[in-house]
Amino acid sequence: MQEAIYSAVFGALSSEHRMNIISNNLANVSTTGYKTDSVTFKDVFVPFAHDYILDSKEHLRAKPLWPDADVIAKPRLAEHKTDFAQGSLRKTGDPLDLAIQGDGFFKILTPDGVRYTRNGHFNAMPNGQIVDSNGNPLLGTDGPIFLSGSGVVEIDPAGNVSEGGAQVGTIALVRFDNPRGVIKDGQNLYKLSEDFEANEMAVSPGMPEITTGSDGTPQTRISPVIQQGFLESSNVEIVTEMVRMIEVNRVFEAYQKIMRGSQDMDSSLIKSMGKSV
Amino acid sequence: MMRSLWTAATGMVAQQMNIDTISNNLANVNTIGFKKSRAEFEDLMYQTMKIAGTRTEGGNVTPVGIQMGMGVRPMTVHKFFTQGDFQNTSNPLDIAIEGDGFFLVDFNGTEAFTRAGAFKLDNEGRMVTANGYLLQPEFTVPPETVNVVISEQGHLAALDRQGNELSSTDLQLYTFQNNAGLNAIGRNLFIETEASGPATAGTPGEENVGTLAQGFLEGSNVELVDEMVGMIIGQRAFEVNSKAISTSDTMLQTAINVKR
Repeated sequence: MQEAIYSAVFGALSSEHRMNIISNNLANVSTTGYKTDSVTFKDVFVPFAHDYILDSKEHLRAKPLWPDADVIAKPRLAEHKTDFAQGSLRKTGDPLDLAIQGDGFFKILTPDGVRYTRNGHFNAMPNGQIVDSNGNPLLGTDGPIFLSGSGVVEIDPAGNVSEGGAQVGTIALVRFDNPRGVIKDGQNLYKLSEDFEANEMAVSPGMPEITTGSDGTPQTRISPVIQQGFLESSNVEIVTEMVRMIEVNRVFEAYQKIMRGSQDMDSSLIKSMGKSV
Repeated sequence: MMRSLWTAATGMVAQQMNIDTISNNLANVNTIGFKKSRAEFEDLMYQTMKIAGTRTEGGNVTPVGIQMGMGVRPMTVHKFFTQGDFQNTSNPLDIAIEGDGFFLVDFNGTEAFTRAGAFKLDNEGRMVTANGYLLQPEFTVPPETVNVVISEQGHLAALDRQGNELSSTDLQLYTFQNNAGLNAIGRNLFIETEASGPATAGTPGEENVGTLAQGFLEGSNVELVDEMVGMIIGQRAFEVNSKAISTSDTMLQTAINVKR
């Protein structure tokens, strides 16, 4: 039988997964602080020795996502990437709506441990604690922040929370030395990947930072600032996603044609062989 | 394949709720003391298909894994208690609150709170809301009253022709730690919940409870332009999710066509 049909199957399966990710991006087009996902593929066109080495698995009984590559082209999913580009800020005017302008995360204390988010929609509980929409406390540099309800809440770009002029806490902002080590956890939250190391680094909002570039020269970068009364929209670009969707659709169709063609070749082969006998 | 159909469906459901919220804001654009709402969304759980940090064929560590999201769900519909516009009505029983407080009314035996200060008199001369709920503390205007005056600090007095006080009371305003936690029960009324915290009584003019303005009403805080823009965005987001469904459908059809 033709091997091409199997290559086309893996191509079609990859397209299907890509479509799932596009759908998720489009579904989250209105989600505050959502960051676009995309996937990349790898081909296995020529027989490399490493094709015969298995990917490590989470546990022994885990089935591999894709069968092992053979010597024939069989596209597979390679990796998944989250684009942390800044989303646009939209004004809400609510004093506890905060947007991060720049690279950074808020710290949230959930029952499962510390989580990170770019969703700056917070509320004050009756006891004054600042919490997210699921009731998890927002962490400041000295733990959760409490408001007394005695005056107007003002939050400056550096994250200092003051109420009626008196400072009640400072919002903790963090960045990661390896942004790829944070993965999505749903509910607008991110968590540290268990298998990949990333260390959180506290940032002082609004202060210029000096870092060492890859060539060893010092570089100045502006650390993130907090904008009160704004929320960060999702960074999904509808046009890009639509184009990807069309592409996926057509690619999928092309794979179907390959399957058809391969089928036709098989059937004509069987027919002509039958005649010669 | 089916997953993307369901994922896009969650997007359509979420946008529908977004439009529902906007419609309610627009429907109440002329409602006295109405506070606008906004729907907020969050992403659903992720299915991890490949763990980041595993060893690749070449012996390197994969920088990222493969995670597939499952769509979106509505997280909250947040109410915004920003000040609405004042309308001058010159009606002595119209009171607007300039600040954070609420009036207390008796809603069939339950304490309810409102910002709609369009009070009326019932057949016994008591001050009531348009639905007949009594303003607390109860205040009865004697029949010989020619004028009712309300000071900024909440002193409510019925005056006769000579300007003598026939009866008076002191109104208090109520504030909450978390206004967004109040439960809106319609009829311009809110009731307290565990999330809003208990009502704290305050004298108008003190701290941030606000002052009273007689002869004014507080309009809704709905901004038409904002809502229209929100509606356009919501409609387009709905449309793009429906396109994702139809694309998934086309792909399914293509897959089915493989076998003829």
